[in-house]
Amino acid sequence: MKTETWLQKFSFELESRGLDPKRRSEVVVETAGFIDESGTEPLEQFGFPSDYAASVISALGETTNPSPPDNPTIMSANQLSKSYRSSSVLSQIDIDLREGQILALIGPNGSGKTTLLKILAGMIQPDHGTVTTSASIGYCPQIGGINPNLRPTEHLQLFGAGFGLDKDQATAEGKRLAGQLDWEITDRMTASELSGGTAQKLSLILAMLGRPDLLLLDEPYQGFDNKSAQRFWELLWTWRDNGGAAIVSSHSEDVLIRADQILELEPTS
Amino acid sequence: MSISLTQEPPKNWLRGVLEPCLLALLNDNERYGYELSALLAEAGLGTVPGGSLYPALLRLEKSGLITSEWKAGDGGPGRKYYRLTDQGNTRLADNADQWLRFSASVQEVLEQGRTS
Repeated sequence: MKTETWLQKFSFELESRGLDPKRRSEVVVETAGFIDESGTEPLEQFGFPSDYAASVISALGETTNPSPPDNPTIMSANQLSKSYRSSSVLSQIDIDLREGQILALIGPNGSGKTTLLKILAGMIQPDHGTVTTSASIGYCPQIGGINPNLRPTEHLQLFGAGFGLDKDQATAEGKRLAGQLDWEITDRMTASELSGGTAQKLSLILAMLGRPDLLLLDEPYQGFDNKSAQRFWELLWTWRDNGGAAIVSSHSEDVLIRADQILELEPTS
Repeated sequence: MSISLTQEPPKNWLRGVLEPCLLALLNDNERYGYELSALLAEAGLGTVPGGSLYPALLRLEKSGLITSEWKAGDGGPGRKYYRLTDQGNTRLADNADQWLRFSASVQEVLEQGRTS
């Protein structure tokens, strides 16, 4: 591969992962300088453009210096408890989430992750405790949330209308987000015909569509392949770096190193 | 068949010590990427491809251990120079102590293995 072609592809890959133009050109110029000075092939030094772009983004995103804790609180929960019939699902949960932070919610099945997210989203009431927030919220449920008979673009337009986006704006923003998740939206299929992972991407995009202040994501990348899962985190890091906040429930251990805060739930009864 | 003493060390050995070594090389001087790569090779640590070097520098910068600055080059687009921060200095001192203890233990184990 010619150096110029490699650099072009590399720049494109950085862009598709949402790196801002200034940062992108710095990285590309620095990389070009190294190739030039070492007199070697870019493939030999850096590998494939897409792989190297991913490792640059991950180096930039994998912060060991999470957003300062003095950012304003975007949502707090105080001593939340919830029981169904007589069995306790959640007991005395506290949350202090700041702007620009990702909170990972971990714990085994039945530990109340979905219940907690629904309480935070205002869909169900806790038995005790309070949730305080003035944030706009985008919620991505673990199952459902999409209409099996509608096509992807119809979803974008329907949900977009709820956020005051016209059809073109909603479609454009949805396609941009889809591109970052490595999915090219076509309307050949209705939602019921999409694969599990792709339907999950659609559900995630719908939650992000109106750029809410806070995302509540219930197992958002369960059906994703590794590459899509990586893209998901890159998208979320960009989101966070722009001041957005998110709470992500997951079974995967990788959330432990990728989130800023961890809340581990245990089965209570 | 003999193994040359100038042969490069196994790649995965360097991975663990790349970041401390970069901190050490930036201790007294600001330096740019290719220069660091050349210095590591010269010091006998093997060839560090750009694909490993720059992500390591980005991580160090993101952690606040080094900072960077663009400087104009001779007619070229300029170079990004990296420099140690105070925090980086502290980390370097810690790492150097840790490494000396660790490498002494490794050496002891290896030498026992060779003589027994």
